[in-house]
Amino acid sequence: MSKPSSPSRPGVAADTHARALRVGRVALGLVTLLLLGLLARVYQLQAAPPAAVAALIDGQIGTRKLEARRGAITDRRHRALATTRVAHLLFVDPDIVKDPNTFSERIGYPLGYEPANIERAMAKRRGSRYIVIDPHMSDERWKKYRQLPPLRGLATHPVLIRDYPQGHVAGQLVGFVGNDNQGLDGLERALDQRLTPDPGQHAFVYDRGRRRLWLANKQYRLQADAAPVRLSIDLNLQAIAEDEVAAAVAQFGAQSGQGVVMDPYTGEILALANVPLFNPADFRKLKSDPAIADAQRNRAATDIFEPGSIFKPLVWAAAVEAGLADPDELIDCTEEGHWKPTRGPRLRDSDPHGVLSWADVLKFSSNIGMAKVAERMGKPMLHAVVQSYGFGTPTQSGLPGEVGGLLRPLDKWSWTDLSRVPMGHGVSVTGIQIARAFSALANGGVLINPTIHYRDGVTSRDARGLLDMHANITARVLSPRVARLTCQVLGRSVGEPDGTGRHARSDLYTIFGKTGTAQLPKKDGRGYQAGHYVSSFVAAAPLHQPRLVVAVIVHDPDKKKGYYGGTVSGPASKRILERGLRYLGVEPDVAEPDTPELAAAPVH
Amino acid sequence: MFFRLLATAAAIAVVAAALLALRQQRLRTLHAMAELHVQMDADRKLTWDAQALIAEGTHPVALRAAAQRAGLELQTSLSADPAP
Repeated sequence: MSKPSSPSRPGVAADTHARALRVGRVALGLVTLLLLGLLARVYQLQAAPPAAVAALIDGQIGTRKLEARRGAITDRRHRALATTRVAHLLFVDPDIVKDPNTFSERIGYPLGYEPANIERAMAKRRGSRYIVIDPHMSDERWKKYRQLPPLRGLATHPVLIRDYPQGHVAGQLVGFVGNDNQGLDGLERALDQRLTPDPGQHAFVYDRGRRRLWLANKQYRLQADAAPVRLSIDLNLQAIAEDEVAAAVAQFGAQSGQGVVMDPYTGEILALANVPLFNPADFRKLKSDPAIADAQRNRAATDIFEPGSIFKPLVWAAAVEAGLADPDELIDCTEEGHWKPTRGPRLRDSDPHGVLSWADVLKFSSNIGMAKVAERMGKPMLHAVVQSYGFGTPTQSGLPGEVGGLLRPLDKWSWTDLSRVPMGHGVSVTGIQIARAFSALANGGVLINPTIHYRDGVTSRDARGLLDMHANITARVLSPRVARLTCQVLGRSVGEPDGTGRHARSDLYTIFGKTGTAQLPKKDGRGYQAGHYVSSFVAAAPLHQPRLVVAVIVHDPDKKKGYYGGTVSGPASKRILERGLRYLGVEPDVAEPDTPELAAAPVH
Repeated sequence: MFFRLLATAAAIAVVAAALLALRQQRLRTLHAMAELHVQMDADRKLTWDAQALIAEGTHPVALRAAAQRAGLELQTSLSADPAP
């Protein structure tokens, strides 16, 4: 008999296998669900964490301002006139200072602060945990601070400050910023919006020990430094102009002085000297020191003066242009040296000249000769001539606070104006306006827009070094022939031994220019102050291809030392032209230079 | 079956460990980036300082004074650069 087979062992194994498979699937499913749950939780924590968790995360993130740099102000060769640098603020947390007396001595003596002041500051703001000892530590103090052993309660943090590395050079022009880095004066104020940077922010995630882990991307914002502003000023020419104007002011005991150096073809202002000099770093003393407050003004743009005889070449050229006078025409300037116009008060020349040619009227600066020809012009034409040079309106040079001078409307002109305006009385101008008008003579008769900004891409020089200046032209005021003729006559005024501008004669360059001496008006506007003058000289060189126009105006020189424009301002103009042209690499056109040290003349 | 599950679990563990290592590496890189960021910011400010110091030391008045102190005579090379 055969033994019945067991109820299928393979069947049991299959059951076990199937059960294990089911259990395995269920387990796998559960694990999958668990993992999906975890994934969802991670997503929730990342995307929208609960308030408690979010607070915990926020507590681990610290944000800091990412400082951006205020735009630098540079000269035409990218040399910094105003820049931003980092200083360090020194502060104390009195909460963790055990003995204020010892503490103030331990930091006061080595760093050069008065310990009593530190202690007083700490006592004054009791309860505060942030007491500033020094808002901007000097470099020396910062070095000493770093050598000090760590002191609980004392710390620093970096702050941005505006730095004026050139000191007084172009100080009035550049201006200054306040403690919050906002422009308060000069170009710092005028260009404040352009110079203001856009600060950013960076945020870090910290661990429990406040150690920096990584950047928190969401709170990160990149800073944007402001672009630098490039001026037309040339730092070397500026230093030369300031040097020479300051020397003239000191030599003649004058109250103040201005110097303008301009490129006659582009209208770029290459130097703008104002004496007394002003260092923008001294702006905190403005209120306490009247001398500093007085020096702060950019006189070349904001102060007006009666130009005197430097006005004559403009009227002289207009008369020639209109055919009302010929350079060789003889004009009777009287043997007595005085003359009564058809209408208006009597006129005088400084010396009797007798009969002069129209060219010599300009060379000898005869008031009578000018007035006689002005009578031929008449008031409307004379007014139109003065207006055509832009007098009476600001030049739009971009200089802050620039004024337009005074030119009364034609219907307000009296007959006196017809004889006085040609000799530079009855109108008021700025140094910039005079330099611009003279530039028109120097560049062949074209009135250009002066500018304080570098004209990149607007100007170009051809093979002869001549400039294409079409972009800057305001108007043509003279024909090239008459402009050239006027310059030649002015060249005689400087180059000939009996010319009024002989003090500006150079052994290096052919200079042409005009002297001006005008009395200062009384403060109430009625009449003039006896013995007080504005002595000016406007010049350009070289005669055949002028590269620089220079105007030097000296206010109220000591009469005993000299007051004629030719004596006071002429030599200064000459020195600026000589040193400036040599610096620019312009070959002397008179003779070989025998004074090579000119460009490196000692600082006055 | 057991071995398959074991293999799967081991594979998952390896992948998890690799991911963890990658994450750790990423965090380290982020930390290094943060440190570099701070260093760059500090260096940027040092550059500003250096620029200011160079400008202070090289302005015309300072240069002339230095040349005088050293007994040097400055000369212009003529026609070197016609452009102002």
